[in-house]
Amino acid sequence: MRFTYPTALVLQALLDDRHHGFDIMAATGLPSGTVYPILRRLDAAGAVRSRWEDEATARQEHRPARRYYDLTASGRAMAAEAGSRYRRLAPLTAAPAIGEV
Amino acid sequence: MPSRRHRLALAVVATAARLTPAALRPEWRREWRAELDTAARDPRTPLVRHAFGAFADAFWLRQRHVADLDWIDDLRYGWRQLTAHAGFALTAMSILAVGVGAAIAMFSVTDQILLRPLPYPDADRLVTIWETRADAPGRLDVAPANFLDWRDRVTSFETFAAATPIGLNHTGGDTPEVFFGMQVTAGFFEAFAVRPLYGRLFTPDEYTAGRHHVMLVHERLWRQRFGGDPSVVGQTFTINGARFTLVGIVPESFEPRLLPAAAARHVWVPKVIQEWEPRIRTSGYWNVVARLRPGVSLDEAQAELAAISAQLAREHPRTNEGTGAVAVRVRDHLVGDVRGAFGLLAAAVALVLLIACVNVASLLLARGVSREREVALRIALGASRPRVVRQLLVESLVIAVAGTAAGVWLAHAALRGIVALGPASIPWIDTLRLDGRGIAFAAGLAVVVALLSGLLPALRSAHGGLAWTGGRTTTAGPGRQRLRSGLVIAEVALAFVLLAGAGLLVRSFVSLLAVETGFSSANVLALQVFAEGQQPTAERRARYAEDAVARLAALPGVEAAGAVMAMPFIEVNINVEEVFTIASQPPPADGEAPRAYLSPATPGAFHALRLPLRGGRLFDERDRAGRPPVAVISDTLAARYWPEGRDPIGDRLTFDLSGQRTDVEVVGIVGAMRHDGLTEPPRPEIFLPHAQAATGSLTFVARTTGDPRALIDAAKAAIWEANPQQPIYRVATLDELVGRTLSPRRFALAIIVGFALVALLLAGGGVYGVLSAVIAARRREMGVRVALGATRADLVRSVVGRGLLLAGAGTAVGLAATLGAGRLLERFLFGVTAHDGLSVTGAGAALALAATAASYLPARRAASADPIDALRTE
Repeated sequence: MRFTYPTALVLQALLDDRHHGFDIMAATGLPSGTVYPILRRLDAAGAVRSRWEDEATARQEHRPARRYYDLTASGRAMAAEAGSRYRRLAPLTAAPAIGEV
Repeated sequence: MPSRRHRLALAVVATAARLTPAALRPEWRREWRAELDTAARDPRTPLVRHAFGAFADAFWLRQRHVADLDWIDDLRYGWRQLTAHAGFALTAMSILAVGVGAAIAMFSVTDQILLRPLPYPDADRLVTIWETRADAPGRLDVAPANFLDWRDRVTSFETFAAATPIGLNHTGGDTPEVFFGMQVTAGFFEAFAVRPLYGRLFTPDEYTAGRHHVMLVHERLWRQRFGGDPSVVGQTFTINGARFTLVGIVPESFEPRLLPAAAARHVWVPKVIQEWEPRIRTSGYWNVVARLRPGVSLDEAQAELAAISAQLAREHPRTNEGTGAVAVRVRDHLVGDVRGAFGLLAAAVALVLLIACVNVASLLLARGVSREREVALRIALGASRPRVVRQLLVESLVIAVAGTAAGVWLAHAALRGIVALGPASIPWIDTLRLDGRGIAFAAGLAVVVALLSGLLPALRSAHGGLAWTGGRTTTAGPGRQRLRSGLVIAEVALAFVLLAGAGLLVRSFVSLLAVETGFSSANVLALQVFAEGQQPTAERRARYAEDAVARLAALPGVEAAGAVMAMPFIEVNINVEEVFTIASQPPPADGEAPRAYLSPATPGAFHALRLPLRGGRLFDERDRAGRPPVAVISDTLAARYWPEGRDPIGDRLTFDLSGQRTDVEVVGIVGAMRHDGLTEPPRPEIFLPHAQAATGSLTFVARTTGDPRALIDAAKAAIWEANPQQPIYRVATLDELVGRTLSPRRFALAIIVGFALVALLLAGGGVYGVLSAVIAARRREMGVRVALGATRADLVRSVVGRGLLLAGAGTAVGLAATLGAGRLLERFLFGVTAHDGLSVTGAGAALALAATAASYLPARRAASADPIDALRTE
């Protein structure tokens, strides 16, 4: 799997507990047209696993359930490697999550 | 109510959704809607801009889906690829079908014959025991006296029994018939632990004279001859003139072809040991079977037999000096002889399968060249390399599965061919068929073949991937050419090994056909009878033989007729070997007494077989019973015991004949005959006038002016005129009898020649394939060379030269392998050595010819290269 800078950013966001597409966009500042293909590729490579958010939680917040992405073990390893390759990632992804603003 | 920008964003995503693969669409749409619906609550979110990103997502999924089909789609795609390139696919499949078909057939043979479990309890403890002699090669039948002494002294065995073949003449039916049977001593069935299907086995007292008129019948004969009727047990039959009671049925699982591997035997009678048999130590005609005691190893038993043989040699030095005993497990006895032949066959099959895989790999490599664009595109679109390798492997799997299916069909046909044409001496060969295990093996083989032939080309293609930069480089690079050339060299080398092997076998066969049998086999009809039962006295046997011979000789179309006891090349030959003394020579030291085979014969037999007279005279009217006993000897015997300058004619020989001391004068010398096969030496033989040594075991021989088969009915009728109750045991032409001994060789020869030709074709195809690819790659270069003044002949020479270079390299490798592997072939060779120059040169020449032919077409294509075309594309 190719390690582009945006990929590293997405991995870092996932590591920072950003779990759904738009949240990752907000955290990384990357456009949706970049984030989603990266998520698909990570999924195909087995670095992330997707699941649907708990319906009850979503209903409580009066919104539909979103698709969540979690790092797998190999994804974590990848994220760690990405982190060491791109040392300045952490500050870049330190933006507040959507909903917290 | 969604806002306008929210509605617009949803419309954008709905449009993008149409791009996604249908299977993923509902979830994909749900994911995007959930995100947009949630994000819409924040008016600052650029909803529409985010929504446009869905196009990138959808597009990525779409192209990924094209590249990343699952296995079923891979298969479908692979199949489409193959049907779109039917020529390529058919070639590859046919090549694999040949290799795989041969391998499946070979597996079935190995599985069903060589590894077949024997149907007896503790079969590993079952052994056969044979005599060995210092002066005769191989395993010999056992002489009765030796058997009796062994049986009395051995301790390693639980049971120790013997059997001897017998023709049982059954009369009282419509026509006299012969049952092929065995006389067995006590313990025979116990050794095999056989239980009767109906009735009982023999009781101990039935092995004594007077109580021995009982018989057992094999289930197969019982079903065919008696319709499987159990009430037949207890009935009596007239056998050899006496009434025999059928006491039991031996089950099908008992292999009736057990001891003499040549012919199946379906009737058993008790063996009554005759008064004279405990004195017979030189003529072996018994087969011995024994069961080892539990815990006794074959080596221990063998050591005991050796010790007993040494004792016997001390006690009977005249007959037993140099005589030993060898124990062989029944399994090894049954399949031991064919194991070597099948080993050779298996090697040939493995080579052909390997060549087939190499060739298909080479074809796939060539196709890889034309698919580089496609592979590069897929990789550019994001397909991973393992993914591309998988797709390519699936394609070779499709080829392998289709090729294997065709191969299964070929194997089925091949097995039927083996059943029809294979030598009957191979046990169980008639039951050979394609079974479930064969099919399972084929399925496994398909996968192995797919990997063997597909992996290298697939890795190679996927490796090329992103190097694709435009139209020009869609030809093979030098690396790929080197790889293909290497494969072709390997193919040529394998083909060389097979061709050289085939050459050696052909040469052996030709040398064998040139071997003189000592007699003239053309236009001779042989009819074997066992007349002891019908003619109990010597006088009657002599009169019977004379009468039958006279009637045969009187038939129109018969030139000469006679009768002889020891009939060369017949299945049940009567081999009576005796030691004798020569009057003109000092008595021999112990163990060095002259030996020869004895054979009563009528005067006509020498004429019918056209044995050349080397000195003295043949038998004639003078040599009747009561007249001075005479003998005619074969020239090998004369040469062995009467060294130069000494004449055997007039000399006197003394020996025991059926326990009677006999003294004869040598009156003639004839050319010696080979008896047991063309590879056996001509036999030292003493012929006695049948009138003076009348035996009932006779083969009538009639030399005919035309086709001897046309006379079969008339000849049988003539013999029945002499005695209508006399069954005829075997009828054949002498050519058939000689040909029969060649059939295993002819079979092996046909197979290896077939394989060698296939290998030659495959190797030729390989050379053709590589050169075609080279020419395709260098077409422009050829054009430029023509433009610069090269003649077409130059181009043809250069291409053909390259083909010959490949063939030459392959031949060199193959030659080295052949010289190394020659030993494996040695036991199949006759009259040539494993390093025979002609076979090796022939193989090289055949390959050179094939390579030239295979290079010529691509060479002509190269020579037609158009300089204008070349310059235009540059």
